[in-house]
Amino acid sequence: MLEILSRMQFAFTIAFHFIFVPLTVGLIIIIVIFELRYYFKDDDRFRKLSNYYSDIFLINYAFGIVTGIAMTVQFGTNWAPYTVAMGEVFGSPLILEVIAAFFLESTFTGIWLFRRHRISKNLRLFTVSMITLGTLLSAMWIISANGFMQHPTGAYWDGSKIILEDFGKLFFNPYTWYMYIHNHLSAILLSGFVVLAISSWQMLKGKEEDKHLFEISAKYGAWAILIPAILLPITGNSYLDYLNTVQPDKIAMITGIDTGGLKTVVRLSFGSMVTLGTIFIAISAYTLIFFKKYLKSKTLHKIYIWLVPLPYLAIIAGWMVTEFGRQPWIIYNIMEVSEGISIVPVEQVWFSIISITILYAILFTMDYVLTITRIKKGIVEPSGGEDNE
Amino acid sequence: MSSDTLINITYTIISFSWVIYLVQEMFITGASALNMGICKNEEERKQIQVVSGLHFDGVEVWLLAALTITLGTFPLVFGTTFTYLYVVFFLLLYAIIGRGVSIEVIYKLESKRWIKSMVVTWTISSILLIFILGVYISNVFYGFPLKDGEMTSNYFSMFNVTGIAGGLLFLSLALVSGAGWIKINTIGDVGDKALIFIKKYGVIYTVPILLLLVFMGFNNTDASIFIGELFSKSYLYFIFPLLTIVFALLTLYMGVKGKGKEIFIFSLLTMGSFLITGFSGMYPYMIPSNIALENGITIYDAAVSDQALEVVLIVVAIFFPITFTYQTWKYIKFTDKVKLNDE
Repeated sequence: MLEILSRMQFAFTIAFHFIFVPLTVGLIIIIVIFELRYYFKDDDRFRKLSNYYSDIFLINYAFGIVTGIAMTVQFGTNWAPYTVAMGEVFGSPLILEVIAAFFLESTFTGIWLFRRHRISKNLRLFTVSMITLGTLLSAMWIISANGFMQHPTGAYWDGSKIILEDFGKLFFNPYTWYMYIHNHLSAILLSGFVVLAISSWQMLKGKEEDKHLFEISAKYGAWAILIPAILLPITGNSYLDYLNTVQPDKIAMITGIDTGGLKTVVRLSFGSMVTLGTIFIAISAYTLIFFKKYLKSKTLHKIYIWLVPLPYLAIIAGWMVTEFGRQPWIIYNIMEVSEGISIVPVEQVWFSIISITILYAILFTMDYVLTITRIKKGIVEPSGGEDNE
Repeated sequence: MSSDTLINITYTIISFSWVIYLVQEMFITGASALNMGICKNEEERKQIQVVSGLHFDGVEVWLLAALTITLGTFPLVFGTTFTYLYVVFFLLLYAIIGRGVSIEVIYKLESKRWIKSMVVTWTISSILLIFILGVYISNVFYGFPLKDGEMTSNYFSMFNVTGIAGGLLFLSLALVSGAGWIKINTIGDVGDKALIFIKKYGVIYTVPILLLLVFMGFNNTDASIFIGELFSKSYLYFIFPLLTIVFALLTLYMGVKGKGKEIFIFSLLTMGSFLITGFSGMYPYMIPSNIALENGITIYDAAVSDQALEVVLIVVAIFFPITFTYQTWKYIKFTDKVKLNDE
């Protein structure tokens, strides 16, 4: 029971965390592009767009960061034997994530949240760039921890724990880089869908005077879908070739040679991801080629609002392939998931799983209401106060 | 570098991260916790939201730094503590979530009920956060019921006289330093009201009392922070607890005088020297045992290999100075006093 509960809790909390993460890491890239246009062309429309999408970024960032802390806590509370055995190798990417990335993101997000309308153009661009750099780095470090679990390199198992041999090898683990690029592209794609959906809603129901702004962001949204949608199958293909050499079991599950239970789920998830990816290319290419038609078509606007769940499904499917495909290993070919579970009184795990489910339900409702309310408010210009330049 | 040196430097860095975290966290949670007691309208509350919200994100990462460095360098300590304090760490997590979300979203909706509920969440989670941290840290200093690598009782044992006194000490130091922080950083009545609040309700008087209570270490007769290796080796180390007491008294004195800046400085110094006392006292134990000294887990028992420690120390040597630079820049850049209607 203990194992089932701890696994369920981890699966639930990581899935919940991942509602916010791809949106924020992708959206900040679109925001930094707006900010660059504002900086170099002095085009005020891009400042307005940057501010608008930043509000949506910041709401989701707040939820993303706190649900991320929940993951760190669980490494100790629910996965202590895993952490004790793995600490030496698992620790350094986590430490790097915190002190080389989180500090950067958080320090500058504070400025962006509370002082964005008071700072100079230079400082605006600098702040957004630092947040972007922080998100890029933090995703890289956490994925390099996952990369090690998928394909341990640069360390050896001494019978009871992992010993670091070569940090360079750990860092340049090819598995990490395939995952990182694939993952980040999918985050940009997802944010493209969100931007396109928001723009469509604004063109349907938003304020008349702001519609020309959302025509611009719709175009950026469509490009943010199309470019990753083309790159994803290319990177995905070489990722698969690589998997053939390091995780043949996963390939057997994907291709349907090995089936039954979770293995079938892996195959179905893979199929869904690829199908959705193909649809994404079609949708975004159509939107860009017939962009004028899209701008006038109320039907397309309505449809695009409802497309947002699709990239989430594709991303979840992709992660299911990655994580179910390595079962039963927590560290591939070294340690099984069941060996990593903390022995704690089962009532305590019941307490945490029930309380965190309730809390997350509240958080989800809050995030949903806040994001939707903010989207619908449209462009808002700051009023009052003095400049802090 | 020898293995022992690496381990000792790592221990110092973890202690240092805790100090940097807690001296900042205390005035941010303190200012937050005061909002319901002193603000008469939303404009004043917004001032407090800005002075604490601007920095809390970056400060919180120091906690993550202390925890993840422990995870990566003394994984046995991380695993043992978190498993034992399972419920406590989830409560701490909920406090962090409650504070982190509420501080940012209070004014995102216009409904009065929403604002009210977020303000209450913000206040309660701030109080809970600093209280749990105080209970936790003072227990870390005095040790856990550890014998043969196993805990002999459950997490409730944390809530002993010393633990609770530690929690309350952190809370009162937070309120006192928070009042100073508000006074330094805002224009208008709210700073003076904060200073009056901590005096009128006696918060400033509790600081030295609670500090003495923690130092006396009730129900921890066998283990004390003053019988560890360093305190036994040299009487010079007693300078830290003495300084802590002196700073606590100066905080009290400045509190009575109602001097914002001095209150702020001396309360931070109280916290800092209290933590240094504790971390020197428990050395070389990472988890001291309050059953018998030798039952504890030392830094040497729990450390990872030299090579892994070297990686961590290189990372710290590169990134801590960078982090310090931009976080200090941020404090300096945004010290402009926050006015009313200054969103």
